[in-house]
Amino acid sequence: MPHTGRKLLLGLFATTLMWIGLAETSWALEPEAAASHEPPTALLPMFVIGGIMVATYIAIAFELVHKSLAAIGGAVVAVGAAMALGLYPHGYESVHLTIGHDLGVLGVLLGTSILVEIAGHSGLFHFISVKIVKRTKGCPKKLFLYIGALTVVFCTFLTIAPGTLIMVTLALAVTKELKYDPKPYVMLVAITANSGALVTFASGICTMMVGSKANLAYVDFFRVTTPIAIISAIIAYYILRYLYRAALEVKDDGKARAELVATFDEWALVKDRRIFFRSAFILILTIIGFATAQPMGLGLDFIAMAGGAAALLLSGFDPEKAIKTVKWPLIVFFIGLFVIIGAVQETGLLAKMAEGITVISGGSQVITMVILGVFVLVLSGIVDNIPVAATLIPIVAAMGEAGYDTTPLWWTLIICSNLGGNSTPVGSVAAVIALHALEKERGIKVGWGEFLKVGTLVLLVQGVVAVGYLLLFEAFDLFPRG
Amino acid sequence: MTEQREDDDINESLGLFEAALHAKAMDLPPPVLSKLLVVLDGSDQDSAAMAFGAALGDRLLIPISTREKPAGTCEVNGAAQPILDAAAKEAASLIVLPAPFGDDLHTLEDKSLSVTIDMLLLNSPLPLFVVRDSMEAPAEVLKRPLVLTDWHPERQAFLGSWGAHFARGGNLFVLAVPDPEVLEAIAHLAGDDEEGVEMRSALVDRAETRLAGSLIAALQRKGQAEDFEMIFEVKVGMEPAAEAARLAEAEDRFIICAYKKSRGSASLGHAHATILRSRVPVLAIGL
Repeated sequence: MPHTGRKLLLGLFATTLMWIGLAETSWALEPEAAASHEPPTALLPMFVIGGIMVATYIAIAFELVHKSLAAIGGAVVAVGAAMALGLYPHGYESVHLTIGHDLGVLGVLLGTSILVEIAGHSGLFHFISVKIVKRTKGCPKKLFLYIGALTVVFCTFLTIAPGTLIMVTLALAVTKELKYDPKPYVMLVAITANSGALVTFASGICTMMVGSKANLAYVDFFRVTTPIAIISAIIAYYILRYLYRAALEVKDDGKARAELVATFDEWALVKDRRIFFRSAFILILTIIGFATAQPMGLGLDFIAMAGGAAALLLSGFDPEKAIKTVKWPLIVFFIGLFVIIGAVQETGLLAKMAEGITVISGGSQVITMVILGVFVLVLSGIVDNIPVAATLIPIVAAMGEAGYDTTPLWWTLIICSNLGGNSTPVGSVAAVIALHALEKERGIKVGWGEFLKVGTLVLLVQGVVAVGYLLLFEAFDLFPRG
Repeated sequence: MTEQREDDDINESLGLFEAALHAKAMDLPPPVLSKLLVVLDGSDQDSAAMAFGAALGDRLLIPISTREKPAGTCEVNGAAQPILDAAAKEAASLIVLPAPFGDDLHTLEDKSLSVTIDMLLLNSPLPLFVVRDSMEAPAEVLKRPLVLTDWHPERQAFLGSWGAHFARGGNLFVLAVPDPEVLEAIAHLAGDDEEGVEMRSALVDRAETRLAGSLIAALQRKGQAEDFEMIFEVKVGMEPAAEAARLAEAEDRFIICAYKKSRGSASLGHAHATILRSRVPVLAIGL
């Protein structure tokens, strides 16, 4: 999509958000609200802080500056403005309270980053993937199927970025060796990775953010998101298989390919067997820990940090190196984003947005789910799905305070923010990594037009099925409520 | 993820897969060893050389023969040929000797290995096991070889055989250090600007991993069959001898290195520097 088109859509998003909020504003100053520490509804702070948030999102979407710098810069300006406008009920301490509320997400992110870094570099996942590729005997259709399935599995356990990285490099290396067109395989990785990010609480960043804020139980993900993750991956697989059917045709008897594939040696990539087995062990223990943390009264950030610490201690991996590879820019990005959203929340704008959605939906839970789902599905393709989820979290929370049953809305937000990234080449981190690797390694560029053609079709089908799936859960009261 | 880090990660992951996809079956036959000759020079390193000689005999299950050169009885410069003659006479397949040869360690420290060792490195048809400091448990040290290798498949296979032979029931560390000329070629390709310098490390790592894939696979399989752990690491931008010495000393290992027996060869220089810098024993094998 050309930049002007994205600007228009982004402008539309920003205007819609502001309009929904401001349409519900009383258009009057209410000084007593600030005095009673209730969110004020004055117009000026909403415009100023809301404007800072929109400007930050534009800077992130158009990569005017690095997204971490945009977020932290926006946070500094937002805090300054909020202080000047007297928005914080506890003065500057409110900023720390805002960050404090989000420490759970930051802890999960930090712990899983370390663990995943060590597990990803242990060769364990590379080993498994080569072993499985050997089972395809080089058959392109089987390879296509296995790469799709492995992408979902690896993104489930390693989170989306490392999972995608392993799978896209596998696809590039194997297709080069077998002289296949890498594009179908890379596109499959880029798109099915977003399904993998849905499988468990710790599989995707948006999933973690919403799950932490909504206090959703880890095991509930197996009931709600895991089935739709598998369904959406199957949809993507069949659509891509159809669209790239010519490239997946077998043109010979396959004997030579089978012989070549049989020579692949998975042991060649195990640089240290100790790290290999210990990483697997710690990863399994961490997953068990995630599943049992809440019944034991422990936070998921505790389990993530324990897993990270155990990996550092037992893997033999250089701690300095492992800690350096933590996604610090993402953590800085999160802190900035949370502070901005905290400031916006203080203006009362997000509460007004929640009221706006309530007015539009006429109070219907089903219509609200559909509006939220479609809105997030569309928007996550245009803007990074992390700010989309981060902005919508307090809105959904505010809807809960207004008497809405938020459980279906949280699940809607999780499913749609992850799948929404499938429509454009910048909608998800998986697409960005996969397409970059394809261009860097093989000189093949997938343009906006080509990606949109494939991604939009996939998203359209996945979106309809996902919203239908969520409505079925609502209709039959299948959402876990604890 | 920044683009540079993303590229580094892509390179690293591709290097691993390329290693698996290009791995060739590598045979690692154990070296044939019949007898070892321990040469003493009357210096204060003699006891360490004797301790390691005895431990080697036990480890390799071969007999030991000892040749003593009482201090000051002959010219050190002329000692190399008598050692080689004795080894031939004894039908030895490995020579153990202290370094610096002919002098106490404290007199020469890291300044020289002595002319005898220089001559033996260049002319010995047999591997040299050079001992400097004494160590607490020589038998345990011998189960923990550190193999210093480069990019040449033949040398890798050869060193792999030796490393695996010693590591049975223990732990093998393979340190791969790229050849300076290959590094130069990569530097030329990547450029000298900041981005080029950053790119070099990732490119070398990827190439090294790919080139060592056959060795890694062979050693991992052998390790499972003969009960030893294998750790493989690539070090770029390090001085090979210094890095090998640092790692080996930190983990009480001994070093195995191979070199080309010709004056001026880079590998001979590495072997010489490794023995000179290392306080742990070095098994230097001329090819």
